Amino acid sequence: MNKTQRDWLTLMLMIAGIGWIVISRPPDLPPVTVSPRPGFVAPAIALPQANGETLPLSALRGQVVIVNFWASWCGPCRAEMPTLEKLYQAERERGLTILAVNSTVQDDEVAVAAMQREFGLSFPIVFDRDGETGQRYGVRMLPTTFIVDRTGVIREVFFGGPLSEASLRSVIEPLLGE
Amino acid sequence: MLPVLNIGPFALYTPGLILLLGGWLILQVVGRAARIYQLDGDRLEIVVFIALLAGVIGARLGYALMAWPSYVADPWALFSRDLQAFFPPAGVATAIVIGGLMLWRQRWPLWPTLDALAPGIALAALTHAIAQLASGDGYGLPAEVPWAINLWGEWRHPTQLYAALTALIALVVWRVRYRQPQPPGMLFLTVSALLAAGTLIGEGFAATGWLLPGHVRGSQVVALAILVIIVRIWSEIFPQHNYR
Repeated sequence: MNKTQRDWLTLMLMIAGIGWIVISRPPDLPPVTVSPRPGFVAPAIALPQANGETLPLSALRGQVVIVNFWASWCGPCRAEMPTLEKLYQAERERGLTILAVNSTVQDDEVAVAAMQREFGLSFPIVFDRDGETGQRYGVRMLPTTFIVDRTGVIREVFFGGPLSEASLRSVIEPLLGE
Repeated sequence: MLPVLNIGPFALYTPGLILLLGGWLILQVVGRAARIYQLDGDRLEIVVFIALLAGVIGARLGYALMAWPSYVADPWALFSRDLQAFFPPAGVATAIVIGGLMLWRQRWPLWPTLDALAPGIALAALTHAIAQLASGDGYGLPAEVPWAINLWGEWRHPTQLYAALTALIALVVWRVRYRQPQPPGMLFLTVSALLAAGTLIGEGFAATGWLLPGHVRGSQVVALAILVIIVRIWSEIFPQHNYR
């Protein structure tokens, strides 16, 4: 390849490459598909609390929601609960809420109440008694944590735990500012 | 998509397992390739191992840097078990810098060493693609092509498979050509060009990724830059000799 050939090849490559990059730009459309994945609308949650009242996820629209699937016997879930409570207390004024979905199908509501007292948990806890919500969210590991933005779109999913305050904050801080 | 693998009472994070397995395979392949080029395979394995380790540390530090106020307030979180608290581009950059520095200080011959690393690079791309397929990340745009896959109720481009196919082609090309007489560096540049071309084309169908202003995908810009650099240096470093 001589210099002229090389220059032509570079030019053709750049024209074709830039052309393809421009043509293939992703469309700027708001997400409409419901799926338990970052970038998708969060599947509906409508589960009862201990007092029997149902708390739907849609009622929390407008807030940044940490949806945390957990069980009282799960060590990492227990370990991250104080972090979640601390974060909730510190940021609820800015629009953060936590929806703790207890995987009741594999847990005991008495143990949940004991744990709530033990850790002084003040955020809403709902009971997934038939496991249907966990299944809809594809939860195969406890804890699994979904960060939902103010428009109801999932922005991050954390598998496992215990989560540190820093990594939770790294995701929720920009969302609280939106 | 299988982000979590349940084995009895254990729940394992599948992409993490795939990355671990991929890392081990990369070490094996690079060691063997180095011996083919009359290089010290054991020493190169150590260099690559340290570079991979540095990459993991770099990815965590990169993640922490992006959210530094949170990590300054809680520095111990750097050592937390959060499996998602990594920034892969920072990890790749760290691995390249640390590995490159070690190779430079130990005076490894540049092009034969890069030829030995070439299958490792292709394997790293394949590992990344399979890990993304397992985690469900890096999915494609909605599509109506016959080979579209149904993801979450929508037919989409199988972009992870495009990336895996590109990496497999690069691996096969290396495998077919590694014993042929050719100037040092040619295989490395060939593998890199194939991966860059595959990324430039395949990422055009991706629904996720790093976006620059104007909705331009950063990965495509980097891939095009690599292709242009390869074209520019190709004739400089490979004068037209007959190597047969």
